[in-house]
Amino acid sequence: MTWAIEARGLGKQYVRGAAHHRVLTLRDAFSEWAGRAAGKPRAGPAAATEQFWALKDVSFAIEPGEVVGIIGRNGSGKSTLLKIVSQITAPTTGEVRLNGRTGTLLEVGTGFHFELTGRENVFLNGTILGMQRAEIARKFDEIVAFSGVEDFIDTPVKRYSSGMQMRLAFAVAAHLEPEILVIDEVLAVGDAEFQKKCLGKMEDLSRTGRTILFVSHNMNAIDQLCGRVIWINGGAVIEDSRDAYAVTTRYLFGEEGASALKAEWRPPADPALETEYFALRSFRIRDAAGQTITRPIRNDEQAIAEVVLDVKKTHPGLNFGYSIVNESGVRVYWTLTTDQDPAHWPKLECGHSILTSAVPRRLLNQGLFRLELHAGIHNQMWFSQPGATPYAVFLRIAGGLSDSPYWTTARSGVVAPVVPWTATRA
Amino acid sequence: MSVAKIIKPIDDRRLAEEVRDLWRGRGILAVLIRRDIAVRYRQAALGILWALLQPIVTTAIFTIVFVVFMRLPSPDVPYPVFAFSGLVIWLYFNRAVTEGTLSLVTNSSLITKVYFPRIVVPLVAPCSAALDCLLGIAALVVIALLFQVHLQWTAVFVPFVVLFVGLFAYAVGLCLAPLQAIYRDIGILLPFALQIAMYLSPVAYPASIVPEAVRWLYRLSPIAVMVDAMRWALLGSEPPSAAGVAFTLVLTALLFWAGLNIFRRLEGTLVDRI
Repeated sequence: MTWAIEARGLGKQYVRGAAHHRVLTLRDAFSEWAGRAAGKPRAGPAAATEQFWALKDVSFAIEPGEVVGIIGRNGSGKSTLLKIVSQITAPTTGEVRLNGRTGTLLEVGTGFHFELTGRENVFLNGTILGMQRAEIARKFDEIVAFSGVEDFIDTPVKRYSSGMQMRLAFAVAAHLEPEILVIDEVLAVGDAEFQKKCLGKMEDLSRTGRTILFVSHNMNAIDQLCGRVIWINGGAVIEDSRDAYAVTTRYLFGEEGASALKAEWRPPADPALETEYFALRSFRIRDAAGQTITRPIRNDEQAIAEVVLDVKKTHPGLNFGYSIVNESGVRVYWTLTTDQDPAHWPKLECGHSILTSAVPRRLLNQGLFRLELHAGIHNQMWFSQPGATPYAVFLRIAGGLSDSPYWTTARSGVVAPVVPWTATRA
Repeated sequence: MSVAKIIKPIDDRRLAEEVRDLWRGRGILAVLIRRDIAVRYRQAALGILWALLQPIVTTAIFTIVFVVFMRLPSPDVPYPVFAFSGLVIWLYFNRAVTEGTLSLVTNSSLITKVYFPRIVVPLVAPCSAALDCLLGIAALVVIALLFQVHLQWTAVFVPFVVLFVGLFAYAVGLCLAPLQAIYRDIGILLPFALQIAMYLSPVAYPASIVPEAVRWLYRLSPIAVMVDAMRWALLGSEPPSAAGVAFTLVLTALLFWAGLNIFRRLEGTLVDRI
């Protein structure tokens, strides 16, 4: 098996401390050298520094055509890994083997010069990104058409708006055709439209069998694009799995959150919720056929929140419901049994009761959601208070956001409803 | 189709790989040279004429100071031709070394974002500055004819002199650019050192005014050799001393060897310290 990317025992040591934060001078270097030559222990700046491993013993092998996401918190070492794989900085130990032409995209528009025209910058940037001059010349018209700045191509880039610069730079990057592509959070810049364009282009690339190494904080993008996720923490690979969904879930919600990441809450396996009014039998998300939903669903699929109770004592203010929170911690909405006209409130009687409520379709954006159970007496007490309750189940939405050919990936915004439009002859 | 590339710690890199990198980076070298030239003259109203203005004005000042004020003994060619021929080479060397030394720092936004063989970076200035030098030489030919100096057949060697100056400057740049990236002292020290070097070289005055006893030492200086070589080739004055040529060649080889080693040692981790 020939791997596309093979990393063996990669380590990167940095020096941190006083000397790292100020400009080193020759004097420091000389005094250190003189001190060492005289057999003295390291003095001066060297003593105040501390060496640490940004990466330690990182190994992995990536098959040709794999799209691999690298995730990790800030300072975890993922950027260092990326810089080593893209040959920007050398490792301290270990090695990386790259089988194939490699392109790196750590920012959009590397090497762009304001004084030069759009045309000159296309050649400059293209060459810097690793294209041959003839290749750029061949693709030039295509690049310019893609960027949409045809009319200004012979104007210095300093006269461009920042949006035009970005579009031109991205057009060049999008026409890179390496066998291995290393991409950093390029998508973090630019508006939602631009990010979507980037993601779309990456999907195209991955379909043509390119090997892609993609670092991002955007778990949706990772879920959507990557067939494999490598999670870096403290400079080491803590997880490397083809179950991208499971890894990103653990990453977002932590080990505990992930194990608790379930679609059903059912005592006695789970802690009971028992009050003088009711005992909770179960809280879950199910499909129309009654099956608990544990897989990601499209946002146009039917999901039903279901609360099963043994009602012991009725109370006119007794209400149930849930609130739904997205990955960013934003409460998308909450809903209670007492939201409508009182005539339409579900009647709870003593004994076994099942409350159901369909999760609105075509509303939730892509991502992971936590549904927190509400239970309480209106204006008097909480039995299960949103934001502070362990009684929560999870729902994952992936895809199905619209039927439009123009809208294929997650749209920015908390919700993603499809809002109809009509045209009327004026 | 696949090309295997192995990324490994700097200690494991061999010198031969640096040289191979230079060839691999020729495309980007060409692009960076073109950028350098385009950017330099694009915005300036006088454009490429700036390349000539500096040696012409300096020659005028030298002529006033050394000939009119100080009554310097006249060299074997009219003083303005003498000074201009020295300045063309000196200014080229000066700019190639200064910009070459600063090259890694000025291109840091590039080298921290994308990989290409870094070894081409200090070579950009010697190449783009050569354009100015060649223009200066063209002007020198005109000035020499104005002063009725006969050009020698040895003028065919002029491009080789320029090439050699460029190579020498590149060797210096290879040594200093990585050091400048880490220790900014180099950039502060360099203009001063270059100024001293100019006054210790026969740029503005002929070597004949240097006391005979130390003249052999004086003529060992690579800058003296380059300037003398230029004057010899174009104007037919005394050639550089054999000892000077030999010393300069050995020094160039040593600088290349040292530069390649310094570069190899530092290029891998440069980005972390720049």
